[in-house]
Amino acid sequence: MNKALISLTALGVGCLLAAPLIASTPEEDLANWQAYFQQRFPQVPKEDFVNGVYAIDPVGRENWEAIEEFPPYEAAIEDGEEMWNTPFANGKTYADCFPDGPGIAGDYPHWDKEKGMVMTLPLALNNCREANAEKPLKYKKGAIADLLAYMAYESRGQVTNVEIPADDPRALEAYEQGKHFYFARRGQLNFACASCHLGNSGTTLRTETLSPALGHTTHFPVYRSKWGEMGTLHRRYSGCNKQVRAKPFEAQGEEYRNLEYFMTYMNNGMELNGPGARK
Amino acid sequence: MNPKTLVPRLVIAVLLIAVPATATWATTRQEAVDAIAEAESVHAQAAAMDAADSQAAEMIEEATALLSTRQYTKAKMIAYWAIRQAEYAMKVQSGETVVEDNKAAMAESLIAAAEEARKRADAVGGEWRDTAAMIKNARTLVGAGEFDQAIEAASAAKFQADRGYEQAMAEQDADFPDYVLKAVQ
Repeated sequence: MNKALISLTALGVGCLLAAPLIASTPEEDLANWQAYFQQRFPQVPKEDFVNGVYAIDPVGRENWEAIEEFPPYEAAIEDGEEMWNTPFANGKTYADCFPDGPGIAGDYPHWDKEKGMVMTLPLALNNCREANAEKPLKYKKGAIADLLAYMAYESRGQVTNVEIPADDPRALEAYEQGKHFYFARRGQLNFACASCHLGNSGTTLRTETLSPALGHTTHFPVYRSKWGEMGTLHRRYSGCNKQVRAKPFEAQGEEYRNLEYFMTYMNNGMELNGPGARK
Repeated sequence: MNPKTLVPRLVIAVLLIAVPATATWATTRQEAVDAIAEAESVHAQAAAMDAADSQAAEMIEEATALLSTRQYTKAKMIAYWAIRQAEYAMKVQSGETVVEDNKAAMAESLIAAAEEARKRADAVGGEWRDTAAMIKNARTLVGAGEFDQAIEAASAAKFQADRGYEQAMAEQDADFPDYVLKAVQ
């Protein structure tokens, strides 16, 4: 009996010690992720993945480049700039919350040690509003997409550099949860995010070419022709979940924030080029 | 007439009639407004008889709210079900229809089971998109006395909820697929 107990305990301790050796680190994940896409699409220069599906679809790219001559997100940038400069009822502005100016998209998402959660730019903007006695904005479209468009535009050229601080294990846990979300199948159609945008990227779903996941977070918010308006990254997450017939999660809820943390980390080294225009 | 030109001409003639006729399939705003007005009228009659059509008022409200978003077909459909609810409540109240207790109880029990299963799936992030709507649909059918259909809808909802839970459990260890690691090694 004692021998069995000792053996089981030893096995348990062994497993605990081995677990970190078996599980991949974020750095390894990042290297594998980016290497996979570069191997899958050898003709695409790495920096071009920020253009989403247009990096791999030459006909779509021609159309997109024509659209970019008169970008449909231009009005959103102007409206967002006006929002940024318009004082709140108490006389303060967004600049009081974000003294480094509007070009700070590259700082998000990041791990907020004090709050113990992933902090995204839309959430930080609403925190700012609430701190100044303003109503929070809705997270999927409308005014917040305009403000984000302006801030994304001002942040163009910054390089994605998400960090997972080693001194707070909760950050790694959030990353792992986001990673799990990305690879877990869900919904009646039993699809994971990865089902379309990893192993099947570059193939077609009906008439649409599936975009590679590398670069997905660099160009949001986007003007989608399908929407006929601007939308945020979490609006897109919600739409993807609905398409596979899964119940979508709350925009800026923990699930999507962790997913954004993982996906953005996977794009480390990629240039920000938002806002974007997509089909 | 040349037979070679007859066929295309016939096709064009059929299309000239059929294509404009397709426009009649769409619901107009007036039709939706009329359906809502009828639902309100029948609901008022049910209220006057003290017949309990608890869902009808809520459905009329839902249908009215859809007008602003131009969802006329959906509004008309919901108004139709509100009418069915009120009419059924009046029939039960007047004794014209006897509630089939067994079926009603079975439908209620299945709806409760489906709702419980939905919550279990939701708790692990595995709820599917349509499950809640299917349960709502089953409740609407019960209110209209359509117990067989309600039982069918609730059973289908429970099936979905159970599969969603099982899926979430099966995906607990989801991680980078092997093909990625193999490809880069």
